[in-house]
Amino acid sequence: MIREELYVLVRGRREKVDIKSPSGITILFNSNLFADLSKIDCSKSYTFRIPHTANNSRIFDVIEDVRVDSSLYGKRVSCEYWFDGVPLIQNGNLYLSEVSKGEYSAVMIFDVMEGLVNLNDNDISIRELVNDNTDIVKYSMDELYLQNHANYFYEYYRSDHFSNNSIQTPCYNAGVVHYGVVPDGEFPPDYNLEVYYRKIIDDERAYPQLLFPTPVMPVQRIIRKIRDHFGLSMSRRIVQDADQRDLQIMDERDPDIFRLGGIPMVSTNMDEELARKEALIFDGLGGIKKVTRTFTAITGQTETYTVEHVLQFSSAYYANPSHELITLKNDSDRVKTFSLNVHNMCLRISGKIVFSTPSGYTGEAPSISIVSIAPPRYKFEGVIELATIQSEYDDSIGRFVIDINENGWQGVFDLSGFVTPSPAEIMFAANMEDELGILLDQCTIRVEPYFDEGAAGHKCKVMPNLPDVSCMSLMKSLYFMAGGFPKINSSGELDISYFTDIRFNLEEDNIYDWSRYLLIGASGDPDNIKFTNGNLGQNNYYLMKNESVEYKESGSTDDVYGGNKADIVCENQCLDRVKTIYQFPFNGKFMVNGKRKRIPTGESIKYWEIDIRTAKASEAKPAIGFFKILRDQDLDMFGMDDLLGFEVWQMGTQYKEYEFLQELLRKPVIIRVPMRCPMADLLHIDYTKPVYLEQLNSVFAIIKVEISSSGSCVAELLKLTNNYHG
Amino acid sequence: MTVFVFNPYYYTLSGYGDGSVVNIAVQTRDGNIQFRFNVVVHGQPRVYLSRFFQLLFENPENTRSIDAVLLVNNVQKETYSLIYGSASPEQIDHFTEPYHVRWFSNLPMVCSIFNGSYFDNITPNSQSHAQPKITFDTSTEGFFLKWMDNVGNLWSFLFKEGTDAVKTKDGTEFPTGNTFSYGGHIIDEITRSSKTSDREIKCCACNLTKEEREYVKSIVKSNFVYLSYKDSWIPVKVTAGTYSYSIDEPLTDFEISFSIPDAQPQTL
Repeated sequence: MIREELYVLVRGRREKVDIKSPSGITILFNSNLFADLSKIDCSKSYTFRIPHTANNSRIFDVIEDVRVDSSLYGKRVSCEYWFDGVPLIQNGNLYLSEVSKGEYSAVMIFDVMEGLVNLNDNDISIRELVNDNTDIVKYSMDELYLQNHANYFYEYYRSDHFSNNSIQTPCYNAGVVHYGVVPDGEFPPDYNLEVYYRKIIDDERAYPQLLFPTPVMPVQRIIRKIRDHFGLSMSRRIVQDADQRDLQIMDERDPDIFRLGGIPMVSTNMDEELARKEALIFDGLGGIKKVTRTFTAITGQTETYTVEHVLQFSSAYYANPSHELITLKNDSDRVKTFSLNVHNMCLRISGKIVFSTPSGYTGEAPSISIVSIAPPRYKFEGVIELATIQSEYDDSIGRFVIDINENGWQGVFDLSGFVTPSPAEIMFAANMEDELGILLDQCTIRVEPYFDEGAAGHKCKVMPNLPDVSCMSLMKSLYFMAGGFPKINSSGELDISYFTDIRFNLEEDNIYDWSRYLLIGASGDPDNIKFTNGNLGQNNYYLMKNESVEYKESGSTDDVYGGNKADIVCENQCLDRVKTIYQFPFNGKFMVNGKRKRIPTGESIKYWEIDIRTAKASEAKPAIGFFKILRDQDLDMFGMDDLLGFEVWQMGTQYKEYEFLQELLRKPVIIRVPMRCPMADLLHIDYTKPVYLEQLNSVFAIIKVEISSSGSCVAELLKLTNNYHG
Repeated sequence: MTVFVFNPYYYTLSGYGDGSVVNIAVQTRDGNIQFRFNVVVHGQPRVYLSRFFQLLFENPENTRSIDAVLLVNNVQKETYSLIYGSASPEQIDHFTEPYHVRWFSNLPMVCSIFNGSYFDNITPNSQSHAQPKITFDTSTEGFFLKWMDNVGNLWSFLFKEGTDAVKTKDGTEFPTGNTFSYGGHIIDEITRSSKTSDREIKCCACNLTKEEREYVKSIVKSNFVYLSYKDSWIPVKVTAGTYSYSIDEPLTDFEISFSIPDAQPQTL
């Protein structure tokens, strides 16, 4: 005999409601094994009848009398439901929906996840999430250079990069490599993108060059905004409030899209501005040959980029690994150079150089000249000396020092109207007189672009420039990408269970043994066996946005994207042939440009293109991926190390999660069995723990368990196959 | 005025214009419990008050009469002496005519009768308005029951034992996982099933005079019946059914059966 108790909190008092025995309340425990985030139960509700007794009438303030303005009219009150002495529902809500035939119809709501209800009902695009002052990108090339591979992801998250108006993180500047084409050796004099894109179409042999790196927004920051906007609570596996640097690894799973994922910004408006300003040049193998930058100061406009650019020479680049000293010679092979495409700009040079002179040196103070060199590539011709900086003897250290810091010497070069020989490039080199024996002790020079303060700065907001994907779509995608299904954990937070958790628990013998609760004997059969859950087909596809399930002839000028569709196969000839489980709102890797097939695409995202007829740019295709290291293939004179790059995610059954899901669903057998109530297990149920039933000699995954107040309990279970061990 | 709360009671509103809304409050005299509602007037409406009267009794087993007032637009219009019960015409007459009560002097006798204004606990020597005529009985063998009748009076009587029966009901059956074998062969699986049990007792109030029947028969309608066992009272339920007796017989037996909560078998 099940003893049920129902308590409600009314008018400040906890009252015990008279309920029928049995009450008719049914509690459903539902695993989300087959569900996606939009189908997850964010609240459960049950309707049942409460008898009309004097006690209940007093509790509900005589709501059954039409004349009375009952204080419980339309109200939800807190309730508790105790099942056989176990507080099954502690934070429920109860309200009376109607009174009929002398009984109250009550609805009890529990397990409410307000945030998820909100997300389901009021979904918005991620572009509309709160955009506070901290979401402004300031671009810096320097942030792309990695000095410490072991901790590459976190290294550059420095507090000195914060200001009231901008945040720099490597994530915002991660190099999503986009290919544009620049004709060999020719920059149009006005650097007008439209014009040279027209040239590109005609000239497939043009040398492929990447245009520029694009800011990438970390997935973690977007999830935090989603969490705050909808009032969701999420477990630490999904979101953490820590700095990127401190993000803890919760699961040793690779790849971890929640922690390491990023979404590039794709909006056209942002891109055009950016394109005119910055450029990175890569060779076709993804290595870095030289760096080209374009600076444009645009006056009188708002809402565009503020570019603050910092380049750092560091003696580390020159150092022979075992010595601190370096010799600079007037030799093109040894000169550390970088090239700048400068247009209407000033340069501020600061830094410190310490010379080491041989003992007894009586010559002139060594000097450094800042020269600009206009190549064709890698050949120095037409060296123009911009400035010579004399060193001064510093008694305290006994060395000649050039100290061009803020308080010392500054060189400002106004290069507006500077005409360089074609091609319009300037290379700055720090060049030293070739004096025997003079060595450089230390050389750190910064070359900064210097804007006239009167010129209006430009800023780019992050959120509106992201792809137009809804928050719910993004969250769903993340779950599918991670290879798990959503669950609400015992703290009421949104969490993730991985498919392989089921197998892991099985291998660790971490299972529920419900044999003794089962109400069928060893010779008995389940009440019901089904071979599908109703949503499965023979082929169940997970697709990227650019893919389709059916085979389509592709046109010769169609772009080609990577990313295999994942196909979970059910070997059941009676099901529909093809079903799409989910189509991601993101494209796969951009493999081949349909119109310019010989141009390598960098296997990155399909960036914006200009329509030559209308000179309009279309937005880049949305993509999502992981941060990765972009390695310099060619450690040449530049000595450049690795850049923080980006790799597009793609669907593939390389994920163990999907391999396992395939094994789960290859021949699904779903049974329904009557049981006595395994109360202790149900109270904190873990849906990734398999269930062992001796009578059926098999192990199962839980789909759902339904208990009714009459004491009967029915479980729906999915048989686990034996094929996946090891 | 005395009102039985389970007899329908209507208050007629008069002197209020058509279409006006009148606020009515029913409350205990001290105002601790109150119910308010609105009445739309058309003509002279009858206002049904019994439900609220019933709800004023929070602890009916101990307090079966309450003083209450009726307020119309916050002005007191009526006072009532409420009784937790309903009355038939004969019971109303009995306020003036006394009961004939058999008093069991060796048992914990309980008797409480409405005397016209409140419930009076009666003893053989009391001087109550409602003082019944007493006949003494010293027997002690049998089931001694007390109950509240539909008017709200408390009575008790000694019923002679008849039969004692156990009624069981099957619960769910389930396999234990063990088998029963004999001679090297497995005969069958062992299943167990849970049960609930009730104990039903038949007993009889013997040799009742015509006057005694007047009150003893009310036990079959009662919702509040207790069996005396040593120092405590065990709640029992009188089995529903048809109880008949001949009206004119000078002495009759009155048989009832009741079920008593039983110690339950182990829940499996």
